[in-house]
Amino acid sequence: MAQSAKQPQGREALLKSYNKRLKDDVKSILDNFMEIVKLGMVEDETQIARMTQVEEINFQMQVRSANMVRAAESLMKLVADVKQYLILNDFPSVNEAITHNSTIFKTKSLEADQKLMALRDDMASDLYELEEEFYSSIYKEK
Amino acid sequence: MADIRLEVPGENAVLEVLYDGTELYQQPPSMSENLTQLARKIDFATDGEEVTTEEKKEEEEEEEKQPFQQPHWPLEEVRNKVRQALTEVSVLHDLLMIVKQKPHQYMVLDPVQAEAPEPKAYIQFLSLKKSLQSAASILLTGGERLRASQTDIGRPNRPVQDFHIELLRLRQNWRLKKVGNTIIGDLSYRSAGSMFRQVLPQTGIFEVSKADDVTGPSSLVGASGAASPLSPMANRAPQSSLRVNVPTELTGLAYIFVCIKKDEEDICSAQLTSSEFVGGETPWQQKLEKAQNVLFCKELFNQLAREAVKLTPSIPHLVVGNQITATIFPGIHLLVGLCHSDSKNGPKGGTLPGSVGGGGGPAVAGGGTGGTTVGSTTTGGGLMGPSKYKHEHDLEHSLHQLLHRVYHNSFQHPLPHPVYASMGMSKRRRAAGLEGMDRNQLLNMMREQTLLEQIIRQVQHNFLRLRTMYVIDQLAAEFKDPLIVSHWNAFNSPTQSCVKINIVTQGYDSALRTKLVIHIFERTLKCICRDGKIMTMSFEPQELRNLILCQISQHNMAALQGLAKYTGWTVLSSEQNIGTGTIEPLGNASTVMLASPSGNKVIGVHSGPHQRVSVFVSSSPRPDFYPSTVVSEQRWEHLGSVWQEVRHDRMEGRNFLNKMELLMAALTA
Repeated sequence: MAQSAKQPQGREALLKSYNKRLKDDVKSILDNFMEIVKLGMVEDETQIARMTQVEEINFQMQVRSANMVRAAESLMKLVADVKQYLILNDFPSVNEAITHNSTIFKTKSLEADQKLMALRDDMASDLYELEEEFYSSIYKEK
Repeated sequence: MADIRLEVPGENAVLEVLYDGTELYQQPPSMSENLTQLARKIDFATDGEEVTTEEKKEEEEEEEKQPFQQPHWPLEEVRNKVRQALTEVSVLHDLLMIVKQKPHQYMVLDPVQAEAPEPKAYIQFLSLKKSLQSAASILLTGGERLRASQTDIGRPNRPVQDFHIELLRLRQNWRLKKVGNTIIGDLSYRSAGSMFRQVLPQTGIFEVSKADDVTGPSSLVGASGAASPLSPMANRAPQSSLRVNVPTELTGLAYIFVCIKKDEEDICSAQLTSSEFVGGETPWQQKLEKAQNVLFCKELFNQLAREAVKLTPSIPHLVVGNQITATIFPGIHLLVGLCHSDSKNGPKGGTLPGSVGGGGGPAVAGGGTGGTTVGSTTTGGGLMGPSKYKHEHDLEHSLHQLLHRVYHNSFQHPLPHPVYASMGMSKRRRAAGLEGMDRNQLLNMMREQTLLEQIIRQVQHNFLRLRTMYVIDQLAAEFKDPLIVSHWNAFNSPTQSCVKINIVTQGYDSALRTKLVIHIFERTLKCICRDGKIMTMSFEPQELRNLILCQISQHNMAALQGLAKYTGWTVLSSEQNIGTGTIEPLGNASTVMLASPSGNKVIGVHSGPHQRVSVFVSSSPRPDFYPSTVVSEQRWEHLGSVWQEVRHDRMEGRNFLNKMELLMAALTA
């Protein structure tokens, strides 16, 4: 019971973490974009020197845009993870596949059996004739 | 203009107005108080000009807020400020002294720099634009990469298949689960009913990983370069993006080698090698199937080895290395071996020295023959085995079938099944308590045939069937005169088969057809003869041979009698088991005497299982009758003459009956 109770809990936590990742990444993209837009504003009075400020803005923009790309790729990774999770835990579809496969194989085995039986019957009747001929012939030396 | 003089009003400030309207005035300050107040207002720190009115106001406010502190003496504040001014002037003086010092030791005066010019705004704009551009380029490259990866997925005929689609296909065929960051699959037959537990529990486990994109195209290029020009289609086949890691002990190829050996000497010298080695770059499905097959073979062999050690037949089974040897008939051995080729030790057998759990029992025997084993397994030719040992594919298949049946039985329980009973109990066992069975009955019920016993029974039957076939064919080739025609039944079970034997004389099928049926079991033969007699024989081939020889002899005699009916000859006597004459090594000889229609000729035929047929003739008015003193009368010449043997092998005619027919015709004429 503890095991079974633990399992859904872990699953729930995993799904929650997926949700959280999604929200975090989208939020990160949005925030970074907003910040970049804000950085585009020209400010007159600053405490720091002009060149430093320019460099800082440049660097910040690069970092923020890289962050956006990272968040987007993280979203792709999330999609891949969700896909993988679905593939690995989608038991109904797996069951369906198993049922499908087993039906196919059963049909195949049935077909093969029928063919083998028909072949066996044919061969038995032919073999009877052939045995008759063989044992009546003179070519029996081993 | 009139001068307006501003004066302090003569009245004092009203301090308080009482209820009756009387005003209390503040007493005017004394002279000294007035001076103090005025002196306090002097600010020595300011020039007077620069102080703005606002500051003044603030100061006044502050002053108003602060309660007026009475100084100790009237000019204290003035004194303080003057002293402060003195300190500052001294400091300035010192500073100037230091500055003036030559050479400059501690301090230099520099001209005050002019204030930096106001920065131009367009530089800022330019830098911002540049920053935005760099940010945009980063975003664009990132977006381009994402788009490329997405379009790659959607495009058909691309070199690498989609990981998830392949994973889905894998999932549909194999058991997978995610542990941590890795995907773990299960190869074992545990879900199908296998109870196989090896020393390491993770034996049947494989790992699924995504093939690196870097290695994908390069290996594809390598493959296309190395591929033969005959297979252009192979180059276009998409590269798998899945990589399957199978444990090393399951890589390679394995099969169970089964053969029947006759030689006594080299029991353990069969070499089990395999040349089929699977390379690493196989599609995962094949790789997994092969690995599963290896696992299956290992389990099968392990089971067989365990049973071989546990069973205690009269001749103990030998378990040496990866081979099991069991004696099925005296001098005939069944050899079951596990052949496994893997990448580590190349294509050779005997890769599993430790897999056979208990080789302890027959270790002494194994030690004795171990030398031959080592000596003979050195060929690197990679043959499946020595040519004299034929691998019995059907028996291997039977072994697989047996284990599959074990799996099946472990999960499939006969229905209906009461809810209160534990799973897996047979119906008889459920009723055992009610019926009050004793221990022996229960034990008998519980006893099941082990795999090894079952396969040994099958092998015994197989061997006995082949041997019976061989004996019959040998006899058929040996005896041309009565033809031996055998028909094998197509309906048989692994431990029972049946053959029908017809003994006929060619051209005289209608005269007689001797039929017998032989049932072949594991260690015995059951023969049902024409006369309904049932004979049970052992596995020795000589017994069957004798039986058929007897049948041939009897057939000849019976067929001759049948022929006599057609030709009008009379059977004077027919004796199946004649007591006279030379003694047969086995069985008895039989005789038939036939008289011609006119009665003047008599044919006597003598036949035994191991003797050739001999024919004698005598004629009734004997030609050489001479009256003697004892037999004087002429009528005694009808007694019949002396038997004369006919050399029927010199006669014309295709077979015995034909010759006899010709002989009868000649004698009648």
